Amino acid sequence: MTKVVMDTSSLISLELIGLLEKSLKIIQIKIPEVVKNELKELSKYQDKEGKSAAKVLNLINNDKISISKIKNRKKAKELLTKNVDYGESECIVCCSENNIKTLIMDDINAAYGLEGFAISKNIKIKISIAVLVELHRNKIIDDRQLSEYVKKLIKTREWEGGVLEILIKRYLENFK
Amino acid sequence: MKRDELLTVRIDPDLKGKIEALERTKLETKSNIIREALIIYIQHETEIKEVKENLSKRFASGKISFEQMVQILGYEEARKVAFFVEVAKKSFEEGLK
Repeated sequence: MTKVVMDTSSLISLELIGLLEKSLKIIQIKIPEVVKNELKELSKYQDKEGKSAAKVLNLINNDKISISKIKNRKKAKELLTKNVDYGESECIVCCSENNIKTLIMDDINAAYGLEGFAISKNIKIKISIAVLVELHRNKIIDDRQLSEYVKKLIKTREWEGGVLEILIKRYLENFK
Repeated sequence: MKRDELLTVRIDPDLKGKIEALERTKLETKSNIIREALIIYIQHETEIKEVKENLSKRFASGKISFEQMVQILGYEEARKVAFFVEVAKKSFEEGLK
């Protein structure tokens, strides 16, 4: 079981394509309290993200995703920038305090803002697609499903036409 | 045809003075000057965004080098693109390893 910390955007990404609960077979997810608060805020909306946030909250309330209280609030505050808010800064501090080496986040601007701290603490930042690849590697999803889920993720998150789509096409060619 | 909408913005007095000077020299209304400036700004930003996206895609495809990207985007922006491509590639190639 790989331990990971996930930010709000990546939790929503996996829930939107219906893979978050399945992912718990191979990953143990920890989040800081602020992520739970962000999910509560999002769940007030009746759009697809709001509904996904409510489902993620159910998993938290059923102890399938654990919450970690941040001890070093000062560090989390130091990491704040125009691209990094408390949600992301507490996620990386959560990794550091719990000796978790993988942070999954889909907000690339925030990830870039946290690069220096991640390197200094030997924390790898990945995007939610890494979880799909891991599910495939563990044979929980097959080649066809991997391809479908990746395409669904791109569409749902409106990542069409960007860098990610180019890399995805290249990567998925291996599974044709 | 859609009706124009009203937009209220706060600007500092110096900028307001410059707009009023243009108003006199160009014999245009303040609204027209600001509208024209906004159109030019948005066009410029849209074009820059498209250039950045195209360059990013060419870099991700291996068609241009990091150095070539730096020449056009500047070091900081090129670093950001390279970081994103690296994180995405590692997510595909390594999964959670």
